[in-house]
Amino acid sequence: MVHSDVDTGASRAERTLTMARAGREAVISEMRRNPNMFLIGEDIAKLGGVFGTSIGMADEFGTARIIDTPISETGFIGIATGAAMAGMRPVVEIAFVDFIGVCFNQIYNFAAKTHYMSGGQYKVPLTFMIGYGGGYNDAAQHSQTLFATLGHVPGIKIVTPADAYDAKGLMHSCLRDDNVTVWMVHKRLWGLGWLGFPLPAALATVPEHDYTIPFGQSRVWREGSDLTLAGLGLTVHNSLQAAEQLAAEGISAEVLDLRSVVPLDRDGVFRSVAKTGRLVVADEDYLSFGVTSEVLAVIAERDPSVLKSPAVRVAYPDVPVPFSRPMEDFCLPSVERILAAARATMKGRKR
Amino acid sequence: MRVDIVVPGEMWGDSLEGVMLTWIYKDGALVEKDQVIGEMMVEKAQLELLAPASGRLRILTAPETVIGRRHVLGTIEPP
Repeated sequence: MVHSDVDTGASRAERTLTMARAGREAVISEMRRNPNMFLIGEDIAKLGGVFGTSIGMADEFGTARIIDTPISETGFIGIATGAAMAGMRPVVEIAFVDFIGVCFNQIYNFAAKTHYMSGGQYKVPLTFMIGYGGGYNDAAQHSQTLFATLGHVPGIKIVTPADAYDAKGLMHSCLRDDNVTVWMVHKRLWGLGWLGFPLPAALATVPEHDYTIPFGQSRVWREGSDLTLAGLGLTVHNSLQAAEQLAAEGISAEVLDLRSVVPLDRDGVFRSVAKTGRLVVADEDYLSFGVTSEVLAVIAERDPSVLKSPAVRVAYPDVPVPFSRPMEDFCLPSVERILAAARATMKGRKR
Repeated sequence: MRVDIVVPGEMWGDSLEGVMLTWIYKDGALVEKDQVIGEMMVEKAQLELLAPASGRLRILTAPETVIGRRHVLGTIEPP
Protein backbone atom coordinates (compact mmCIF):
# COMPACT_ATOMS: atom_id res chain seq x y z
CA MET A 1 0.00 0.00 0.00
CA VAL A 2 1.10 3.55 -0.55
CA HIS A 3 1.97 5.51 2.48
CA SER A 4 4.81 7.49 3.89
CA ASP A 5 6.44 6.51 7.12
CA VAL A 6 7.94 9.96 7.30
CA ASP A 7 6.05 12.10 9.76
CA THR A 8 4.69 14.66 7.31
CA GLY A 9 3.43 17.17 9.84
CA ALA A 10 6.50 17.90 11.89
CA SER A 11 4.43 20.06 14.20
CA ARG A 12 1.90 17.32 14.95
CA ALA A 13 2.45 15.63 18.25
CA GLU A 14 2.47 11.85 18.84
CA ARG A 15 -0.91 10.44 19.74
CA THR A 16 -1.60 7.75 22.32
CA LEU A 17 -4.84 5.99 21.46
CA THR A 18 -7.10 3.41 23.03
CA MET A 19 -7.84 0.29 20.98
CA ALA A 20 -11.43 1.45 20.42
CA ARG A 21 -10.28 4.75 18.94
CA ALA A 22 -7.53 3.13 16.85
CA GLY A 23 -9.90 0.56 15.33
CA ARG A 24 -12.53 3.21 14.67
CA GLU A 25 -9.96 5.40 12.92
CA ALA A 26 -9.19 2.58 10.47
CA VAL A 27 -12.88 2.01 9.71
CA ILE A 28 -13.48 5.74 9.17
CA SER A 29 -10.49 6.03 6.85
CA GLU A 30 -11.56 3.01 4.75
CA MET A 31 -15.16 4.26 4.60
CA ARG A 32 -13.96 7.61 3.27
CA ARG A 33 -11.99 5.82 0.54
CA ASN A 34 -14.65 3.33 -0.36
CA PRO A 35 -18.29 4.38 -0.91
CA ASN A 36 -19.31 0.69 -1.07
CA MET A 37 -18.38 0.14 2.55
CA PHE A 38 -21.06 0.30 5.25
CA LEU A 39 -21.37 -0.59 8.92
CA ILE A 40 -24.31 -2.59 10.25
CA GLY A 41 -25.24 -3.80 13.73
CA GLU A 42 -27.10 -3.08 16.94
CA ASP A 43 -26.82 0.33 18.63
CA ILE A 44 -24.11 1.59 16.29
CA ALA A 45 -25.71 4.73 14.83
CA LYS A 46 -27.51 6.50 17.66
CA LEU A 47 -25.44 5.11 20.51
CA GLY A 48 -22.11 4.84 18.67
CA GLY A 49 -21.66 1.17 19.52
CA VAL A 50 -21.92 -0.59 22.87
CA PHE A 51 -18.11 -0.42 23.02
CA GLY A 52 -17.77 2.95 21.30
CA THR A 53 -16.71 1.40 18.01
CA SER A 54 -18.70 3.86 15.88
CA ILE A 55 -18.89 7.07 17.92
CA GLY A 56 -19.65 9.99 15.62
CA MET A 57 -19.75 7.89 12.46
CA ALA A 58 -23.47 8.34 11.77
CA ASP A 59 -22.91 12.11 11.77
CA GLU A 60 -20.27 11.81 9.07
CA PHE A 61 -21.62 8.98 6.93
CA GLY A 62 -25.37 9.11 7.59
CA THR A 63 -27.70 6.30 8.62
CA ALA A 64 -27.73 4.77 5.12
CA ARG A 65 -24.12 3.66 5.73
CA ILE A 66 -24.19 3.34 9.53
CA ILE A 67 -27.19 1.07 9.93
CA ASP A 68 -28.90 0.38 13.25
CA THR A 69 -30.67 -2.98 13.17
CA PRO A 70 -33.26 -4.76 15.30
CA ILE A 71 -32.01 -7.51 17.58
CA SER A 72 -31.84 -10.00 14.72
CA GLU A 73 -28.29 -11.18 14.07
CA THR A 74 -29.39 -13.77 11.52
CA GLY A 75 -31.13 -11.05 9.54
CA PHE A 76 -28.39 -8.46 9.46
CA ILE A 77 -25.55 -10.90 8.93
CA GLY A 78 -27.55 -12.40 6.08
CA ILE A 79 -27.94 -8.89 4.66
CA ALA A 80 -24.22 -8.27 5.01
CA THR A 81 -23.26 -11.59 3.42
CA GLY A 82 -25.52 -10.98 0.43
CA ALA A 83 -24.31 -7.40 0.08
CA ALA A 84 -20.71 -8.60 0.13
CA MET A 85 -21.43 -11.16 -2.59
CA ALA A 86 -23.02 -8.37 -4.63
CA GLY A 87 -19.87 -6.25 -4.45
CA MET A 88 -20.27 -4.13 -1.35
CA ARG A 89 -17.91 -4.17 1.64
CA PRO A 90 -19.97 -4.58 4.81
CA VAL A 91 -18.57 -4.27 8.31
CA VAL A 92 -20.65 -6.05 10.93
CA GLU A 93 -20.48 -4.99 14.56
CA ILE A 94 -21.28 -7.73 17.07
CA ALA A 95 -20.52 -6.42 20.52
CA PHE A 96 -20.31 -9.85 22.18
CA VAL A 97 -18.88 -12.93 20.47
CA ASP A 98 -21.39 -14.95 22.50
CA PHE A 99 -24.07 -13.86 20.01
CA ILE A 100 -22.48 -15.46 16.95
CA GLY A 101 -24.38 -18.59 17.89
CA VAL A 102 -27.58 -16.88 16.79
CA CYS A 103 -26.31 -16.36 13.26
CA PHE A 104 -23.75 -19.08 12.81
CA ASN A 105 -25.47 -20.64 9.82
CA GLN A 106 -25.01 -17.40 7.86
CA ILE A 107 -21.38 -17.16 8.98
CA TYR A 108 -20.08 -20.67 8.49
CA ASN A 109 -22.29 -22.00 5.71
CA PHE A 110 -22.64 -18.88 3.57
CA ALA A 111 -20.08 -16.16 4.35
CA ALA A 112 -17.17 -18.56 4.86
CA LYS A 113 -17.93 -21.01 2.03
CA THR A 114 -19.34 -19.03 -0.90
CA HIS A 115 -15.97 -18.09 -2.35
CA TYR A 116 -14.96 -21.74 -2.47
CA MET A 117 -18.32 -23.17 -3.54
CA SER A 118 -18.75 -20.65 -6.35
CA GLY A 119 -15.38 -21.63 -7.75
CA GLY A 120 -14.05 -18.19 -6.91
CA GLN A 121 -16.81 -16.35 -8.77
CA TYR A 122 -18.13 -14.65 -5.64
CA LYS A 123 -15.98 -13.04 -3.03
CA VAL A 124 -17.36 -12.17 0.38
CA PRO A 125 -15.44 -9.10 1.64
CA LEU A 126 -17.13 -9.00 5.01
CA THR A 127 -15.47 -7.88 8.24
CA PHE A 128 -16.77 -8.58 11.72
CA MET A 129 -15.71 -6.45 14.66
CA ILE A 130 -16.33 -8.40 17.82
CA GLY A 131 -15.69 -8.06 21.54
CA TYR A 132 -14.76 -11.09 23.63
CA GLY A 133 -13.65 -12.09 27.09
CA GLY A 134 -14.67 -11.79 30.70
CA GLY A 135 -13.32 -10.67 34.02
CA TYR A 136 -16.00 -8.11 34.80
CA ASN A 137 -18.92 -10.17 36.16
CA ASP A 138 -20.99 -10.51 33.01
CA ALA A 139 -21.68 -14.23 33.40
CA ALA A 140 -21.72 -17.18 31.01
CA GLN A 141 -23.47 -15.67 27.98
CA HIS A 142 -21.52 -12.37 27.80
CA SER A 143 -17.98 -13.38 28.73
CA GLN A 144 -16.88 -16.05 26.30
CA THR A 145 -13.88 -15.93 23.97
CA LEU A 146 -14.77 -18.58 21.34
CA PHE A 147 -11.68 -18.24 19.12
CA ALA A 148 -11.82 -21.95 18.41
CA THR A 149 -15.51 -21.93 17.53
CA LEU A 150 -14.81 -19.49 14.69
CA GLY A 151 -11.29 -20.67 13.91
CA HIS A 152 -12.35 -24.26 13.37
CA VAL A 153 -14.26 -23.41 10.18
CA PRO A 154 -12.17 -22.97 7.00
CA GLY A 155 -12.66 -19.64 5.25
CA ILE A 156 -12.56 -17.22 8.20
CA LYS A 157 -9.47 -15.17 9.07
CA ILE A 158 -9.30 -14.08 12.71
CA VAL A 159 -7.07 -11.38 14.21
CA THR A 160 -6.69 -10.59 17.91
CA PRO A 161 -4.76 -7.32 18.40
CA ALA A 162 -3.33 -6.68 21.86
CA ASP A 163 -2.62 -2.96 21.56
CA ALA A 164 -3.87 0.09 19.73
CA TYR A 165 -1.12 0.04 17.07
CA ASP A 166 -2.00 -3.51 16.05
CA ALA A 167 -5.73 -2.75 16.37
CA LYS A 168 -5.50 -0.12 13.63
CA GLY A 169 -3.10 -1.97 11.33
CA LEU A 170 -4.96 -5.26 11.55
CA MET A 171 -8.29 -3.50 11.01
CA HIS A 172 -6.97 -1.98 7.78
CA SER A 173 -5.81 -5.45 6.70
CA CYS A 174 -9.25 -6.92 7.46
CA LEU A 175 -11.11 -4.18 5.60
CA ARG A 176 -8.91 -4.57 2.51
CA ASP A 177 -9.18 -8.36 2.41
CA ASP A 178 -11.51 -9.85 -0.19
CA ASN A 179 -13.05 -12.50 2.06
CA VAL A 180 -14.37 -12.98 5.59
CA THR A 181 -12.28 -11.46 8.35
CA VAL A 182 -12.93 -11.20 12.07
CA TRP A 183 -11.29 -8.49 14.19
CA MET A 184 -11.61 -9.46 17.85
CA VAL A 185 -10.72 -7.31 20.84
CA HIS A 186 -10.88 -8.31 24.49
CA LYS A 187 -13.43 -6.10 26.23
CA ARG A 188 -10.97 -5.18 28.95
CA LEU A 189 -8.53 -3.90 26.31
CA TRP A 190 -10.95 -1.60 24.47
CA GLY A 191 -10.20 1.37 26.70
CA LEU A 192 -13.67 1.79 28.12
CA GLY A 193 -14.01 2.97 31.67
CA TRP A 194 -16.97 0.80 32.55
CA LEU A 195 -15.07 -2.38 31.61
CA GLY A 196 -12.03 -1.36 33.65
CA PHE A 197 -9.67 1.48 32.92
CA PRO A 198 -7.69 1.56 29.71
CA LEU A 199 -4.83 -0.83 30.28
CA PRO A 200 -1.73 1.36 29.87
CA ALA A 201 0.03 -1.41 27.92
CA ALA A 202 -2.83 -1.59 25.39
CA LEU A 203 -2.57 2.12 24.67
CA ALA A 204 -0.05 2.79 21.93
CA THR A 205 1.41 5.47 19.76
CA VAL A 206 -0.66 5.33 16.60
CA PRO A 207 0.35 7.08 13.36
CA GLU A 208 -2.30 9.16 11.61
CA HIS A 209 -1.67 7.55 8.22
CA ASP A 210 -3.12 4.21 7.12
CA TYR A 211 -0.95 1.11 7.51
CA THR A 212 -1.56 -2.62 7.33
CA ILE A 213 -0.17 -5.53 9.36
CA PRO A 214 0.01 -8.88 7.54
CA PHE A 215 -2.18 -11.75 8.73
CA GLY A 216 -0.43 -14.65 10.43
CA GLN A 217 2.58 -12.76 11.76
CA SER A 218 3.22 -13.15 15.46
CA ARG A 219 4.93 -10.38 17.41
CA VAL A 220 7.65 -10.76 20.03
CA TRP A 221 6.86 -8.27 22.79
CA ARG A 222 9.79 -9.32 24.94
CA GLU A 223 12.81 -11.42 24.03
CA GLY A 224 13.86 -14.23 26.33
CA SER A 225 15.96 -17.38 26.39
CA ASP A 226 14.58 -19.75 29.08
CA LEU A 227 10.96 -20.20 28.05
CA THR A 228 8.29 -18.91 25.69
CA LEU A 229 5.09 -17.41 27.05
CA ALA A 230 2.69 -17.44 24.10
CA GLY A 231 -0.63 -15.64 24.27
CA LEU A 232 -3.05 -13.44 22.39
CA GLY A 233 -5.10 -10.39 23.31
CA LEU A 234 -5.30 -9.96 27.06
CA THR A 235 -3.13 -12.98 27.82
CA VAL A 236 -0.21 -11.16 26.14
CA HIS A 237 -0.44 -8.54 28.88
CA ASN A 238 -0.79 -11.16 31.60
CA SER A 239 2.25 -12.93 30.15
CA LEU A 240 4.25 -9.68 30.12
CA GLN A 241 3.50 -9.17 33.80
CA ALA A 242 4.47 -12.76 34.52
CA ALA A 243 7.71 -12.28 32.54
CA GLU A 244 8.56 -9.27 34.67
CA GLN A 245 8.17 -11.33 37.85
CA LEU A 246 10.09 -14.26 36.36
CA ALA A 247 12.96 -11.92 35.49
CA ALA A 248 13.20 -11.04 39.17
CA GLU A 249 13.54 -14.77 39.85
CA GLY A 250 16.33 -15.06 37.29
CA ILE A 251 14.21 -16.61 34.53
CA SER A 252 14.29 -15.07 31.06
CA ALA A 253 10.87 -15.37 29.42
CA GLU A 254 10.07 -14.54 25.82
CA VAL A 255 6.55 -13.16 25.29
CA LEU A 256 5.07 -14.11 21.94
CA ASP A 257 1.80 -12.54 20.76
CA LEU A 258 0.11 -14.80 18.20
CA ARG A 259 -1.86 -11.79 16.83
CA SER A 260 -3.82 -14.00 14.39
CA VAL A 261 -5.71 -17.15 15.27
CA VAL A 262 -6.24 -17.87 11.57
CA PRO A 263 -3.81 -18.00 9.92
CA LEU A 264 -1.73 -19.08 12.91
CA ASP A 265 1.96 -18.18 12.73
CA ARG A 266 3.21 -21.73 13.15
CA ASP A 267 6.72 -20.80 12.02
CA GLY A 268 6.87 -18.01 14.61
CA VAL A 269 5.72 -20.34 17.38
CA PHE A 270 8.21 -23.03 16.43
CA ARG A 271 11.08 -20.54 16.04
CA SER A 272 10.52 -19.18 19.54
CA VAL A 273 10.12 -22.55 21.25
CA ALA A 274 13.09 -24.04 19.38
CA LYS A 275 15.13 -21.17 20.83
CA THR A 276 13.88 -21.30 24.43
CA GLY A 277 13.07 -25.02 24.75
CA ARG A 278 10.05 -24.43 26.97
CA LEU A 279 6.48 -23.35 26.32
CA VAL A 280 3.56 -22.00 28.32
CA VAL A 281 0.58 -20.93 26.20
CA ALA A 282 -2.21 -18.86 27.70
CA ASP A 283 -5.66 -18.25 26.25
CA GLU A 284 -9.01 -17.18 27.70
CA ASP A 285 -10.93 -19.56 25.42
CA TYR A 286 -11.97 -22.96 26.79
CA LEU A 287 -9.13 -25.41 27.31
CA SER A 288 -10.25 -28.30 25.15
CA PHE A 289 -10.01 -28.23 21.34
CA GLY A 290 -8.73 -24.66 21.37
CA VAL A 291 -5.88 -22.32 20.41
CA THR A 292 -3.67 -23.68 23.20
CA SER A 293 -3.98 -27.23 21.82
CA GLU A 294 -3.23 -26.00 18.31
CA VAL A 295 -0.06 -24.24 19.47
CA LEU A 296 1.12 -27.40 21.23
CA ALA A 297 0.35 -29.39 18.09
CA VAL A 298 2.84 -27.21 16.17
CA ILE A 299 5.65 -28.43 18.42
CA ALA A 300 4.41 -32.01 18.60
CA GLU A 301 4.19 -32.28 14.81
CA ARG A 302 7.38 -30.44 13.85
CA ASP A 303 9.87 -31.60 16.45
CA PRO A 304 8.93 -32.30 20.07
CA SER A 305 12.61 -32.91 20.83
CA VAL A 306 13.11 -29.10 21.04
CA LEU A 307 11.25 -29.18 24.37
CA LYS A 308 13.41 -29.40 27.49
CA SER A 309 10.29 -30.00 29.61
CA PRO A 310 6.60 -30.66 28.94
CA ALA A 311 4.65 -27.69 27.56
CA VAL A 312 1.86 -26.27 29.73
CA ARG A 313 -1.52 -24.83 28.72
CA VAL A 314 -3.19 -22.09 30.76
CA ALA A 315 -6.73 -21.72 29.45
CA TYR A 316 -10.31 -21.42 30.64
CA PRO A 317 -11.47 -24.62 32.36
CA ASP A 318 -14.19 -26.46 30.43
CA VAL A 319 -17.02 -24.85 32.41
CA PRO A 320 -19.46 -21.99 31.71
CA VAL A 321 -18.14 -18.61 32.93
CA PRO A 322 -19.30 -18.15 36.54
CA PHE A 323 -21.03 -14.91 37.54
CA SER A 324 -19.46 -14.91 41.00
CA ARG A 325 -16.33 -12.73 41.01
CA PRO A 326 -14.12 -15.08 43.07
CA MET A 327 -15.22 -18.07 40.98
CA GLU A 328 -14.63 -16.18 37.73
CA ASP A 329 -11.21 -14.97 38.90
CA PHE A 330 -10.30 -18.57 39.70
CA CYS A 331 -11.01 -19.61 36.10
CA LEU A 332 -9.30 -16.77 34.21
CA PRO A 333 -5.80 -17.25 32.72
CA SER A 334 -4.36 -14.86 35.28
CA VAL A 335 -0.79 -13.69 35.85
CA GLU A 336 -0.65 -16.04 38.85
CA ARG A 337 -1.67 -19.07 36.80
CA ILE A 338 0.83 -18.23 34.07
CA LEU A 339 3.54 -17.79 36.71
CA ALA A 340 2.70 -21.14 38.30
CA ALA A 341 2.82 -22.83 34.90
CA ALA A 342 6.12 -21.14 34.02
CA ARG A 343 7.73 -22.20 37.30
CA ALA A 344 6.47 -25.76 36.80
CA THR A 345 7.86 -25.97 33.31
CA MET A 346 11.21 -24.60 34.51
CA LYS A 347 11.37 -27.42 37.08
CA GLY A 348 10.02 -30.07 34.71
CA ARG A 349 12.39 -32.57 33.17
CA LYS A 350 12.17 -34.32 29.87
CA ARG A 351 10.67 -37.73 30.41
CA MET B 1 -2.54 33.60 27.24
CA ARG B 2 -3.17 30.46 29.27
CA VAL B 3 -6.52 28.77 28.74
CA ASP B 4 -7.98 26.28 31.21
CA ILE B 5 -9.25 22.92 29.93
CA VAL B 6 -12.54 22.57 31.76
CA VAL B 7 -15.10 19.76 31.80
CA PRO B 8 -17.81 21.35 29.67
CA GLY B 9 -20.83 22.34 31.74
CA GLU B 10 -23.33 21.18 29.14
CA MET B 11 -21.98 17.62 29.24
CA TRP B 12 -23.38 16.63 32.59
CA GLY B 13 -25.37 17.86 35.56
CA ASP B 14 -23.98 19.37 38.76
CA SER B 15 -24.39 16.28 40.89
CA LEU B 16 -22.85 13.73 38.52
CA GLU B 17 -19.35 12.38 38.95
CA GLY B 18 -17.34 11.28 35.95
CA VAL B 19 -13.83 10.08 35.43
CA MET B 20 -10.81 11.04 33.34
CA LEU B 21 -10.03 8.08 31.09
CA THR B 22 -7.09 8.90 28.82
CA TRP B 23 -5.07 11.72 27.38
CA ILE B 24 -4.31 11.33 23.68
CA TYR B 25 -1.36 13.70 23.81
CA LYS B 26 1.51 13.83 26.26
CA ASP B 27 2.13 16.67 28.64
CA GLY B 28 3.91 19.41 26.71
CA ALA B 29 2.59 18.40 23.27
CA LEU B 30 1.49 21.04 20.81
CA VAL B 31 -2.22 20.75 20.10
CA GLU B 32 -4.65 22.63 17.93
CA LYS B 33 -7.95 24.20 18.93
CA ASP B 34 -10.88 21.73 18.73
CA GLN B 35 -8.61 18.69 18.35
CA VAL B 36 -9.74 15.72 20.47
CA ILE B 37 -7.15 15.61 23.25
CA GLY B 38 -8.67 13.17 25.73
CA GLU B 39 -11.56 10.96 26.75
CA MET B 40 -13.80 11.11 29.81
CA MET B 41 -16.58 8.89 31.01
CA VAL B 42 -19.82 9.65 32.77
CA GLU B 43 -22.63 7.15 33.40
CA LYS B 44 -21.08 4.53 31.06
CA ALA B 45 -20.88 7.04 28.19
CA GLN B 46 -17.58 7.99 26.60
CA LEU B 47 -17.10 11.74 26.06
CA GLU B 48 -14.45 13.47 24.01
CA LEU B 49 -12.47 16.36 25.38
CA LEU B 50 -11.60 19.06 22.84
CA ALA B 51 -8.70 21.50 23.05
CA PRO B 52 -10.18 24.91 23.93
CA ALA B 53 -7.26 26.69 22.22
CA SER B 54 -4.10 26.01 20.22
CA GLY B 55 -0.88 25.73 22.19
CA ARG B 56 1.09 23.54 24.55
CA LEU B 57 -0.88 20.98 26.56
CA ARG B 58 -0.31 20.90 30.31
CA ILE B 59 -1.98 17.94 32.04
CA LEU B 60 -3.24 18.51 35.59
CA THR B 61 -5.50 15.47 36.00
CA ALA B 62 -4.23 11.92 35.78
CA PRO B 63 -6.26 9.11 34.18
CA GLU B 64 -8.60 7.34 36.64
CA THR B 65 -9.22 10.60 38.53
CA VAL B 66 -12.81 11.32 39.52
CA ILE B 67 -13.96 14.58 37.96
CA GLY B 68 -17.04 16.78 38.14
CA ARG B 69 -18.64 19.49 36.09
CA ARG B 70 -16.37 22.52 35.58
CA HIS B 71 -13.34 20.57 36.88
CA VAL B 72 -10.09 22.04 35.47
CA LEU B 73 -8.33 19.11 33.80
CA GLY B 74 -5.34 20.96 32.41
CA THR B 75 -4.30 24.09 30.60
CA ILE B 76 -3.22 25.20 27.18
CA GLU B 77 -0.19 27.44 27.31
CA PRO B 78 1.24 29.59 24.55
CA PRO B 79 3.61 27.45 22.45
